[in-house]
Amino acid sequence: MANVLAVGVDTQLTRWLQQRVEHLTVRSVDFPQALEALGQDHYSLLLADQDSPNVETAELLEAIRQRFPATLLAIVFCLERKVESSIQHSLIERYNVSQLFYKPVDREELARLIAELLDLPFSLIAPGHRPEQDLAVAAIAKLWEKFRPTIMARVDVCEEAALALVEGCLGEELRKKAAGEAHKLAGSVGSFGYAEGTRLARGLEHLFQGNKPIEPSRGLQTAETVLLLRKTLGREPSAPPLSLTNGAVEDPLLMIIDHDKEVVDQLLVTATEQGLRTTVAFSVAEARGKLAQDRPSVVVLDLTFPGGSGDSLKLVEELSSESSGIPVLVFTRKDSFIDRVEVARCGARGFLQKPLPAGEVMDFVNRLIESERAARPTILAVDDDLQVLQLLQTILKPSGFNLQILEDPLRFWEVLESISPDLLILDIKMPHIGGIELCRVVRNDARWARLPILFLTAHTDLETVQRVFNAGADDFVGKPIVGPELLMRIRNRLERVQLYRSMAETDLLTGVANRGRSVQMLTQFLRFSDRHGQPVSLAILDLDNFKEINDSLGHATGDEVLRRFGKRLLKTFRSEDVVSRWGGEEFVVGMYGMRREDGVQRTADLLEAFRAETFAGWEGRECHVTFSAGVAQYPEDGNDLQAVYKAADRALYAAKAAGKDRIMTAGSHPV
Amino acid sequence: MTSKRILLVDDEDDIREVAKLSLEMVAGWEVITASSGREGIQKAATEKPDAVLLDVMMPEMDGPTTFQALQISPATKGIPVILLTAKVQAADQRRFKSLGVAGVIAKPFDPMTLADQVNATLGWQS
Repeated sequence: MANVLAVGVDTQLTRWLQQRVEHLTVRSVDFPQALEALGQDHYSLLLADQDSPNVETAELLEAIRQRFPATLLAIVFCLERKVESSIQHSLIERYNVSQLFYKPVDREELARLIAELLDLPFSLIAPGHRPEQDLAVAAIAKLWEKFRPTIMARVDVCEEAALALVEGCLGEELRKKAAGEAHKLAGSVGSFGYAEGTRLARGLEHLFQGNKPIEPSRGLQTAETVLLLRKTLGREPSAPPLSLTNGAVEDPLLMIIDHDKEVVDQLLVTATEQGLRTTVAFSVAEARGKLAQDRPSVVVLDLTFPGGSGDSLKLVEELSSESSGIPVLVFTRKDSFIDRVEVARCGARGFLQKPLPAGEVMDFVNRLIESERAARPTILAVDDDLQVLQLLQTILKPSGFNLQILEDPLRFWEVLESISPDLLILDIKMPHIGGIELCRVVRNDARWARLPILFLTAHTDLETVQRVFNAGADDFVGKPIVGPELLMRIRNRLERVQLYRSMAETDLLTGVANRGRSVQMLTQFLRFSDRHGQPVSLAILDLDNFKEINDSLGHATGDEVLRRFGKRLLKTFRSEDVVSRWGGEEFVVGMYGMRREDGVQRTADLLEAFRAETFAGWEGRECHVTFSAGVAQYPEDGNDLQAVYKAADRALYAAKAAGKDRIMTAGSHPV
Repeated sequence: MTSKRILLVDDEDDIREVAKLSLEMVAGWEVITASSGREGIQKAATEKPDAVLLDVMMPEMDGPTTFQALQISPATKGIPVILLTAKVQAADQRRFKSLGVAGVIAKPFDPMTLADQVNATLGWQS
């Protein structure tokens, strides 16, 4: 039998708790009576409920702390999640509160916790939850810390043997030793939760054992396996030290490829001041060598090298390809239209003309870094176990995720809001505030209703799984964590969210951006234009005689025309351009860094290509569709988005009036 | 479930500690350890465990040799022995079982269920 004193708690809840937890007696009082009540009877647990603890509460808790040691009286406190984390901390650290619950309280969870704290039997659906297992898991994690040096020394031996194999000089003695160490690794690391480690070690054991000569060609593969084993066991040779609240966010690396030493020096000074790491190459060949070792976050490159720009353009293309995806900023003295188009075609993310102060170049670089960072999904992982966080780091970082880790669950809310992650990983069991509790609170907030939440759990019994899903989680991954499984589940979740998001930003029929999204992006273009003195061209395209097509050939044909026009648009313009449908048959394209004439040129290319497309017309005959367009330039033709749009619209009107199927620029210059 | 007393013989410190911790914390058993076959034989005689968990691959005196020594001595003859081995091939496993041990448990074991495996091998009520 255990007595609970409920202070400020709704009597309905106390009655329910009494029924829910066997051998539990609950007495309810208000805050002013709490101290007196504690003196009258023996209580094992104090359950307090107050939205926001005040000074009187602090005094009460202080008095309780002095008279009743934490070992005799456990305290559970229910409060609003908005309460400052410093107050939450002081409840725990100063006043010995053992567990916090956020309101509205999940009573099942509360009942379960009270039963656990008081050592009372409690079953949800499937009895069989064994709290002693949690303790064992924690203890094993500690053991792992203790033995990791020994275990890593074994990996070292395997590595030595693998390297000797690569060099073709693996001797009998070392080979035998490596086989023994691999055997021991295979037999032990799995018990610490590294099943994958066991698998890798077993592969090494298999290779090294026996006397048959090993094919020298297997050397590299073996060295790779050892490296993988080392990573799996949670230690990267060059791993940066893990900072507890912030994750190991490395400073971005800027690569400058330029033969002009003066330019390089200026950029280096500014970049270093702004906290970037840097690397320099004075030729394309040197750059290639350095790229083999390091992956820069951004590359700034000049086109003018002895021997022409062909080689540097090729490098731009390689770096910008989907597989490497490194943003390139071309910074060069060349400035013909052909150069700009070539650079854009190769996939460069920007074109800056020399001379330009280093500060402005760096503005551009920083913007690219920022947009890269934004493009990488951010994952927030909350776990009080540093090893798990480290393991997540090892698994997620090489896969391009931006992992932020948080060891202190009480800071959860402020961190969540400040980094607004794309996915959340929670541990079930954490001191003072559990993952289930955090999950439930996140789900109660409409802003985070769609945030994917993944649980890490050592228990996959029915009861735990049920609790996880009841709290609103999307998925769970069992511990020990298996890298590929975790990655797959994370990707699944992110893809689904991506799908929802792109549906909200894309015009479904044509696949181009919708109006809302494009206005956002165009506004951003104009801002950059102000800062960097680059022009922006805006083109409005309107299909000719579209109403007639719809009326005479039907809406299905009309839709087909729109769909194919959208496709053609996406093909013609760069991914950096804004391509959007503003309604009906009207499309708007924004081109950063392009002058009016450049914009007209590209639109004319599109018109020529689209004219050639054929659609099914009357009685099996083919028909062709054309469009008219007006092009204007910011800031020359208008000093904000609305004004430029108006200028382009006037040009469009002039083009229609002049007989359609043509492009005109603002100021009605026919083209 | 009555508490059991287990003698664990393994030359590897990490395995010894993780198995000890697992059996103590998850199952609540008492665990005595030995780091060599020789020490294992001594402790089996003096501590009278309910079962011995014995590593196969140990320097000097390996698991099977230790097992035979335990079988010879009347004091330890009746104690059931389970071999622990990282050898996964079926032929190896069969060879070990043919020695007359009570069972074989593969390494790496799952610390959360090691006691269950011992229970199942020896037909103990869990």
